[in-house]
Amino acid sequence: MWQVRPIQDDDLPGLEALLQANSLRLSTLSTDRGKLEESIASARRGFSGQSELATLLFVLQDGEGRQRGICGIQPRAGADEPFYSYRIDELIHASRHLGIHQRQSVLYLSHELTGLTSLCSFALHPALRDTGSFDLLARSRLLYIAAHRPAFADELICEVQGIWDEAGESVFWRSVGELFFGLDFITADEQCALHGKTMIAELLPAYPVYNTLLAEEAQQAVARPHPGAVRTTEWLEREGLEKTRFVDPFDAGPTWRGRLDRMTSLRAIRPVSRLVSDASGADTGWLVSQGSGEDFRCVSLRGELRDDVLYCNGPCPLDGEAPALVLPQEVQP
Amino acid sequence: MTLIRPITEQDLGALVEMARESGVGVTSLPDNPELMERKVRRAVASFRQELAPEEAHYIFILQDTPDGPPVGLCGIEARIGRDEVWYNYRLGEVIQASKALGLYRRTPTLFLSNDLTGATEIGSLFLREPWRGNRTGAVLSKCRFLFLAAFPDLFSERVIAEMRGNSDEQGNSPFWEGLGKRFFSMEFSDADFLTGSGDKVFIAELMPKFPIYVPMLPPAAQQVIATVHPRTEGALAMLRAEGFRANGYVDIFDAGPTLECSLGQIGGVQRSELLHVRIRHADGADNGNDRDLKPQWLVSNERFSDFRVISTAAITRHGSELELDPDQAGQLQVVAGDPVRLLQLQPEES
Repeated sequence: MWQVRPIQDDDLPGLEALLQANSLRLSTLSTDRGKLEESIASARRGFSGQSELATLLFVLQDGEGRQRGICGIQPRAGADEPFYSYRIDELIHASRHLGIHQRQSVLYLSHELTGLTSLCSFALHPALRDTGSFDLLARSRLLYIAAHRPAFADELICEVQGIWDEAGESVFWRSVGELFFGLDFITADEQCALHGKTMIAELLPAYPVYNTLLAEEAQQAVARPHPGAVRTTEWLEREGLEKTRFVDPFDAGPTWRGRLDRMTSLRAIRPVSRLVSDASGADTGWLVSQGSGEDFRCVSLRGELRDDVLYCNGPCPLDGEAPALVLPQEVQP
Repeated sequence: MTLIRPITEQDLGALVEMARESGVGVTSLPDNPELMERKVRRAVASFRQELAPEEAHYIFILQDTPDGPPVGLCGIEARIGRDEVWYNYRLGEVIQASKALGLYRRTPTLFLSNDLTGATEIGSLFLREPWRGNRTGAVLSKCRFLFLAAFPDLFSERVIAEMRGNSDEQGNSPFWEGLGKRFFSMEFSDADFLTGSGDKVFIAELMPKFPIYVPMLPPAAQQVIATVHPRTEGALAMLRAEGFRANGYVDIFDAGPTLECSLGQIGGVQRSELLHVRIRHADGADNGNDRDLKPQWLVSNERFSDFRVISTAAITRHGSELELDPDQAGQLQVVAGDPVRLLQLQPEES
């Protein structure tokens, strides 16, 4: 049975294999074994209620128990440190006297997004990229949030990967960060995973950056999502999040943002008192979650919702007698 | 024999002509008769003390012969940045350092500033091509030190000179291409014309206000920061010999450096000596004022509105008295017993 569940200590080898197979690297998850162990331990403290700030990591496991995807929720972006973004702003350089009127984009370092809830660390096995697994993995987090609503902020953000070239280098970094650090993007990215993004971001120059002074390709990359992230951005749009003027300070990938309680999926989630195996009803797709903290599980199944009972077309993979949250797979924004 | 004197309204026509031949980069000589006239008026009023001392802009005219036409000029702006905001980039740096990452990087950074507001500026030097050489440039430049030495109370203790930055034969400035032009599409030669025409402040207002990280500029722009135009090398060397040093500020358009020296520390001010006139009778002894000889000395009177400077190849001193022939005394408009100021040119100056 495919399911999304909190990460466990013995996920480590499977997770390593998954990250190696994944072509989209994650700046929030190191491939270093020791660091991964730390991330897992921290997530477990989060699920068990020992830490309110720990990034929660979820694993998508297939019927044979193999790890096929990972995703995360950072309850408060930046945790107890500032969360860095560049905010794209506009300045008008104008002179009535000279008849000149020019719009200039300027990037300001910002901590505005600090403390918002962040969806992060999303990776799906390449073989599953165009399957329903994306939906299950991505939206399982919204069911978790709905089940633990007070643990999260009122607003949600999601940073989408920016433009990287064939060699895995960010063209934006070459024009900005590399000038100040003397480190290429891959090295800097490793440093981020090792020391934390904040520590590196703190070293970014404090003064605003004029877009017009960047290399042409870097200017083009600002606020453009990686082509491989199109599924993510489409999903975020469907959920009612909006692309903001905030970009990642490393690769200039854009950030989506929205109010949690207005998100399409959040509004469509319903509590049910029982799950009953009964194939006589309608055949619509549902994401169903049950349990809290370490016991959280999320699955995808088909069936019909009547009153506060979900009738499943097939064996019920969860505890039929316990309450659950259900979310229609098809929701209208 | 060259004579330097305050500008008059009659010089306007000659200045307009000089402006036409000076070309791009000499912002003090805008090719714009109306503007030139305003400049002349202001300078004339300055010498007449019709303006407050801090509003004054003094322009000195060099003429080749006692009655000849103007062939060069130079100026002293008593206080810069008073009627128009004065902008510079200050050369600074920001440091990125982290012990944990083993990182320590210095990033040169340009900070927009008005720091030099209120300083005295020596500038506006231009000498027509046929009169260059034979130390005439040095004579014209240094006459200002005699004026500063004679009237120090009218000026700031802080004296600066802006050096022309690098631009190519076509008048393109690599610094402008890399920075200014990104903020408003305008060729350097046009922008430069505007600055000379009193629109400098309008352009400055369009320039980026936040600091500029130098490594973000194209290499060609980075390389010319704080360097001078080849034709300005001589002026740079001369001012350095007089004690001026780069003060860490550059022009916001062409990144030419600003030099600075305290008024009292300027070599020419310190070396100048106050003497009294003795008139040599016209009994023949030539004072070496042959025009083929290189001038070695500058002599100025101590008058404000009728300030005058002559150069001479040789002098005769008697203690605190300086012997002038009647011609020289006439040029300087002095009589026996009047104070005059003497300054020797440095041997290496051409």
